[in-house]
Parts: sequence; structure tokens; C-alpha cells
Amino acid sequence: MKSSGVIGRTLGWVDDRTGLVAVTEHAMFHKVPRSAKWWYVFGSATLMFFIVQLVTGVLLTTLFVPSAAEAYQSLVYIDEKIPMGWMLRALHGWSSNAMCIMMLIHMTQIFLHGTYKYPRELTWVAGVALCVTTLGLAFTGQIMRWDANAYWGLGIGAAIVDRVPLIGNWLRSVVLGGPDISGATLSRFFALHVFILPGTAIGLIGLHLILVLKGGISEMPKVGQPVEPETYREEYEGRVKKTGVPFFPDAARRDMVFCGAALIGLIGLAAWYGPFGPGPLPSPTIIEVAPRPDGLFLWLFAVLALLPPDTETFLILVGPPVGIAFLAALPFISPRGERAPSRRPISVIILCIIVTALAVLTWLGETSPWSPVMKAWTSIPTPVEYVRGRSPLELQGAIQLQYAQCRNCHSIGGEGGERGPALDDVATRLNWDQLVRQIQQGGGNMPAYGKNLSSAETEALVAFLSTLDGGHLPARIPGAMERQPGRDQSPTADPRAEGESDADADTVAAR
Amino acid sequence: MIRSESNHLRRRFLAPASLRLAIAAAAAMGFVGCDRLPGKPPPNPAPVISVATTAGFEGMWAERCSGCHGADGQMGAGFPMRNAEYLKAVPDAAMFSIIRDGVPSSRMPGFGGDAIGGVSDETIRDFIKGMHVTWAESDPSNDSRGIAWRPTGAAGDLDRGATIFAAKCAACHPAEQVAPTQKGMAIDELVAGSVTDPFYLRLVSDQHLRSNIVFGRKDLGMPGAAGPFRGPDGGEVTTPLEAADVADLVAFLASKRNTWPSGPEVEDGAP
Repeated sequence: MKSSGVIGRTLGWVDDRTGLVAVTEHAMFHKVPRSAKWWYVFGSATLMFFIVQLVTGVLLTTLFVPSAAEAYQSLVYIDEKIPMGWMLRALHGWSSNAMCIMMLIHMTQIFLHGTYKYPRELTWVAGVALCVTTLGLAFTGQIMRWDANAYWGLGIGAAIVDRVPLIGNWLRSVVLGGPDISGATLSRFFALHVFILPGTAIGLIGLHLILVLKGGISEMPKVGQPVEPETYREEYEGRVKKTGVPFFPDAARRDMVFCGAALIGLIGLAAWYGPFGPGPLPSPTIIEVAPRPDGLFLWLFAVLALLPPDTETFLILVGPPVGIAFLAALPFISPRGERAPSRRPISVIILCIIVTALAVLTWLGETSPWSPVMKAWTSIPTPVEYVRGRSPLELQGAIQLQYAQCRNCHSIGGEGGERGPALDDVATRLNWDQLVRQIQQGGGNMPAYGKNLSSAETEALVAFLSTLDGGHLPARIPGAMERQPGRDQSPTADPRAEGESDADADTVAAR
Repeated sequence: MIRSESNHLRRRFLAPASLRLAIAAAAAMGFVGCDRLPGKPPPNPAPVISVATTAGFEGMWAERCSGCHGADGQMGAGFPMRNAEYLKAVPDAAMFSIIRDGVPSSRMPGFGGDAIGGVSDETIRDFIKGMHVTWAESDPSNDSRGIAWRPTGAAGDLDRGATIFAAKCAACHPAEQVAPTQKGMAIDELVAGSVTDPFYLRLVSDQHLRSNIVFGRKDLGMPGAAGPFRGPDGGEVTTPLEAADVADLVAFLASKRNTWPSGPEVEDGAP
């Protein structure tokens, strides 16, 4: 590079000391296949959204207060007091979704075109790692809002972690920074979202780009032009040398046009639909909540709701690691051969199945009534016919049913949540002991309430539930709808009273 | 090479000056109009309808109270507020603290105070007025015979309480837990099930017992202190309860509460 003039001499000096100019020059003007056209813009768009995330994220960090007491107020402050603060949050939120979607499209294209094959295996592996990191960023980002939906997302996450055998409890306190979701949890997720994951992502993006430059941009797949590791590199370089075009400006122009359009789309979405949340805080007196995770995790929400209970733990714990490991191993399973989709029917079918499944699950997650109805407990009265003729103890049970927020997930009289089964005829399905067991130990998707209810509260609740016979339906199992056999009127002799002081302390603490 | 590239760039990418000017103008106009973009979030918290109005009161009742106290203030699992005498007997200050802070260790949550989303003190005062206007002022009934809602005199006499209970309460509240809704039994509105059940007594405070005895639960067919009651023979007992009788009854019922090993679930003083 022999240039005269101040700029030229300065660049020459910098290049002499660092070699950076040459690297940049190579990155900008290296030859890429002529066939690399509009299919190749998605990776750049993902990167563009990531840069938007960095810029808006850094600005938000200067305004957001990562403390449990002030996070919510600081978001409201950004929305209302900072000029265009809401736009900043809107851009960050929409760009996060756009980045994930663009990344998935990019991955789909790479998979469909068999680009992960020799010699680009590691590029793909770095990409898979980026995919996990990006989803991690999206998940931790929704926690930053620290509203009821963030709680909900965390609750799902904690429940998944909790299922790990042996170390589940310990892992849960590592993730949450304690046994429960608290201020420490927010600090932890803030560190993840702002330092650890973005740092990881930047490192991985660098690696990914270096690998892309090293391996060269792939050509469009051609039928009858399989990848043979023995000859591929030589042939590829020969073709690119002969017919290739410089990345800048020929290929970069398409990237820029697409990124520009995507950016305009992003600004439009942000301006029209505004920021995500913050929704209401998770407080018992705030009742306008239908908690649901953000769009990208809706499919997971649906999976959790739909899996049969006995396979749940296994599939949730084993599924994702196996899936990610399989993705990462893909180029090693199939490093050579045809790249054209028309010659790889199995890959195409698998892709169609995955896309369809995710789309259907997301749709189900969006439309199905699995979310608890958070205001049911204070706003939906016990049906009058279930109040009439009940004993004082049973009425206390009905109050307990409201107070323990059972109806947020279970309906009676057609009102309440639909996450769990309706309870109108529960007495025909479960007998006294089964009701006690279900309430105390949980099961299915139901949490165990044993620690949160005293024996008297459980007794009252079960007494009330065992009157719900669906309007005198016959019992469906032996022992249903009979009074508890030999129920002891004197709790002094009641073995269930054992360890009760603890339970009571918990009950009070839980309030 | 760099210089030639930059010329190349200029030719390829940069728009003519007029177009640039137009873009800049559009951007400036955009920023001026930004505060009116549809995405701008509404003020937080959203304005609420004042509970001083009938619609506001009913809305708040439906949203936060009806779950336990019934859709129209009665026939809920919890104590009805559609009870003029009760509303008149409970001082506004006591009602205010119950609604704002809840009743500790009972199942009445607080709806105000410092919690974000809690309603303001002003709203709670308006809400109490709303209850009075809607349910109390037009109702002249006298089922409580003016007996105070809080205990006033000395603690009750347990043995006297047992006698009164047998004479006026036991016909509807037999000691054995009776479940009127069990299969094959006709619902008898007057057989209400045991109130001496130890589990029941552990869930309710003496104040709960007192409120129920004094003011009754007309919505469920239970009379207040004025009666009439059903005697052991099924006949009507018209002698009403005096203030001392109420204290005795509460003392008797409280003696049936088995607090071993952990004490009552509800601290006394809870309504």
C-alpha cells in the first residue's frame, strides 16, 4: 500500500505497527462467490440487530437501576421522564426479538443449504453457541423488567432447574441467589444480561466472523456438486478466484440494503407498538395480570403445559441438552456430500417438522388459557350454590380456596383459571385422602402446598372440595364422596399434627 | 487505493444534495412528532375510576372483594358486608385499618398501604363510604339489638355459654359434623353443620365468632342476636341474646378450640 497524502501515510503507519489495515482490507475486499446473493443477508442483519442491542443496551444501563426496589420505578422513569426514553426501551425490546428471529432464519438458511459441511464445521459450532447465548440474552432481558411476567419467566426457569436430580435445589439457589426470587436474583440476572452474556456473544461473534473469513463464504448449493473434503478447498478457491466478486461493495450492498430495510422496520415497530412492559408488579394486590413468557419462549410454555406429567422431568432436562448437542454435532455427523436441499430430503423434512412444531406450539402458547387468572382469587366469587348448605368448616375451606389462589388455575362454576382441571366435580374423582395428598404433595403441574397450608387449612379445604360433586354425580372411584373414615375429632391425637409448628410458621411467612 | 475507493463509494451510495436535505427534514419532523407516536406508553399507573362514584365502588368491590365476600356483598364464603348493622357498628377507623392492612394471620389481605398497586388511603375512605351508601343507610333492621361488635365487658362464663348453646344453637349446629350436601340428603337450610369442630375453631378468631353471633348471617339463614332460634325440640325460641350471652357463647366455643400444639391459626381480634 503505497499512498501519498496524510491519510494514506497515517494508515500506512498504523498498518506497519498493527497489521490491522491489511486485515480490514482483506475482510472488506476479499472475493466472495458471485452466486452469494439475497440468501446471504440474514447473518449481517443479525449482527446489525446485535449492534443496535449494544448501543441501546449501554444507554439503558445508564438509566436502569438494577435493584428489586427500584427497577420498576426506573423503567417507568425512563418511559415517562427521559426524552424518547420509551423509544429506547422499545428499540431494545423489538430489536431483541428481531435479532432472535433473524438468527433463526440465518440458521435455517445455513442448515437448508448444507453450509455447515466441510470446511465450515467450526463456524456452525460457534453459531450454535451464539444461538444459545442469544436466547440466554433474550431470557435474562425479560427478567430485567422485574414485573409479574418476569416473575413468571423466572418461575418457569426455576421450576425446570429444580427438577434436576440430586442437585436441583442447590442449582436453584445458585440461579436465584437464594431459595426464592428476591433482590439477589435481579442482581444475578443483571450481571448475566449486561456483562457475562454480551461479553460471551461479542467473543463468539468475533470467532464466528474470523471463521467465516477463513473458510470463505459458501456458494449457493448446486445439484451434482457435492462437498468432498479432499478436493473442496482447492476447487472452491479456484472458482472464487475466477468468477468471484469483492465482498465490498458487491455483496455488502445487498447486506446494507437489507439491514437498512430491517432497521426501518424496527424503528416502525418500536414507534408504533412501543416498549414491552413493564407489566404490573407481582404483588397480591395487583390483579391485572395474565402471566405469559415473551413470544420467543411461548413454545416452551406450551410444551410445559402439554407434556404428560410423568415424562415431563425427563424430557425437560434431557431434551434441550440433547437437542443442542445434536445441532453442534451436525457437521461432524454429515461433513460431506450433497448440499442442495433437493438432494437432502430428510434434512428438509426435519426442518419442516421443527418449524411447524415451533409455530404450532407458539400459537398454542399465545392462545390457550393456561395462564393463571391472577385476579380470580379476589374477584370471582364462590358460586352461590356452593356456599348454600355448607358447614362452617366447609365455608372456611371455600375461603381458603380463594385465599390460596386455587382458582387462579382451577375453575369452579365455570369461572377461574383453566391451567388445572375444573373442580366442580372433583369429589367424584378423588376421595378424601387423595385430595389431601394432591394438595400437600402436588403432582402433575400442580405445586405442592403442604408447606403453605396448616393441617386445619388443609382439612377445611378438603372438606369443601369433597362437597363438589358436580350436582350429585355418582362417585367414579371407590371411597369418593364419603366422609373421611374415622376422622379424629381431637387433633391432640392426630398424627398429622406432627411438625405443625413449622408449617404454621411458613404459612405466616408466606403471607 | 483508499482514495479511489472513497470516490467510488460516493458515486455509488450517496444521494444528491436535495434528497439528503429532504431526508434530514423528514427526520427532524419525525423527532418533533415523536411524543405523539402510537407506541408511547400511557402514564403509569393508569388513572382509575374514583370509588366515590357508584360505578367506581362496584368496580372495586367486584375486583377485590367479591371473591370472598360475595358478588353483591352477600352469599360469599366469607362474612357478608351487605349487613347494615355490621357496617354501622364497626367504626370507620377500624374498617379502614382492616381494608388497608388486612388482618394479620387471618385470610383477609391488605389492599392498601405501601405496596405498589395498593390503593390509596383516600380511595379506601371513599370505598367505605360507598359500602355505607350502597348497603347500610336504607336498611333499618335491628338483628344485633345494638350489641357492640367488639367485646366490651368481662370475659364470658363458659358453663353458661354451654347452656345457651344447647338451648339456642345446637339444633342447627350439632356437635357432629353434618354435611348437608352429602349424597342422598336433602339440603336443610337450617342444619348448618358443626361450629364446635376443632379444625373450624382453629381457623377462626373469637371476633369472627362474635360477629357471626351478634349480626348473624341472614344470607345463609342464620339469625343475629335478636333471634328467633331453633330449640332442641325443633320449636322456635324467641328470647333474644343479651350482650353477656354473646360473651358466654364465645367463651364456650373458644374452650372447644384445641390449640395444641401450635395455637390458633388466627390471632384474636381478627374479625
